[in-house]
Amino acid sequence: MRKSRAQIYDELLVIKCRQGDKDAFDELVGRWQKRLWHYAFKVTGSESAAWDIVQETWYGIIKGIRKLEDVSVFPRWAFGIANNKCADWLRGQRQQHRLNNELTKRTQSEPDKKQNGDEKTESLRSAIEKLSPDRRALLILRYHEDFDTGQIAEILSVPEGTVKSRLHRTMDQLRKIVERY
Amino acid sequence: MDKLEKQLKKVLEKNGVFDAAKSETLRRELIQMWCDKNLLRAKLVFWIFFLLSLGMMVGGYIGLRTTGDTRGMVSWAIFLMIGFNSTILMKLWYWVVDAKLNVQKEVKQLQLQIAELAGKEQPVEN
Repeated sequence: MRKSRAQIYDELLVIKCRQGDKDAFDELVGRWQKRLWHYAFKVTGSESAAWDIVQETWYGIIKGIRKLEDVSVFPRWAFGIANNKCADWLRGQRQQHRLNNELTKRTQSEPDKKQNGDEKTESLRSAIEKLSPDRRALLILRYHEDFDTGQIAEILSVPEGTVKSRLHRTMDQLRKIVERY
Repeated sequence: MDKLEKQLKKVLEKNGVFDAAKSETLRRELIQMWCDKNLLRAKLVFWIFFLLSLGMMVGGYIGLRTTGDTRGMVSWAIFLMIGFNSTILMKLWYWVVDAKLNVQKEVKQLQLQIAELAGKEQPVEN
């Protein structure tokens, strides 16, 4: 397996964290905070929820990093924690019968919409927003975070075949929407 | 990668406004938490281990002094020795874990240097 410099550096930071190095943890937070926040934001659609999820994710990381034997799995492990926190948040929202409102209220991304007038892109964006949170998570992990299907299966705790079929169905769904324009 | 996938990548990149100030505050909080947790863990491990070893040694010594028969004395002496040896075993365990992490760290640093020498964009063989 080939690894990039960034991956090796992250692994080095995780090893240092396992030894209790404060500076390494600081750097790790700096490198991963934004990525985790974007993931949480895109899945939940709420900026404040994304911050809460990121905070809880880091608590989970602090708690479990010493037990992480294979340091190369850190990205998958961290996203797995974030994904579980997102799922908890969405479950909570559903229980309060507010999920639908939250999804339609996803107007935080409105300024971005104005920046890009391309009709096709806009239709794609609104189609993504209408997807269920787990489908959205799938797309983000695949096309934004560049994880392969095996890694996504680990993060979402589902079989790889399920990831492939869900991805295929979601892409078909999006293709149909985009083709209309 | 087809056209839709490229478009999807582009769309997913543009989303949300990341609050850098909030991020910095959270970062500081997390580092504080990291320090507290590490300190607490180290203190907890030390005291549990210290009290356990001390208890075994004191118990063993009292038992050794109060028991009259040879068999009992041998048993208590073994108990005392275990208490004493556990301090050495604990140090040994810590050294093994630390040495393992140090080796892993050296290997990663070496890999990183190879990757740097190979060039910025070049991936490195694991």
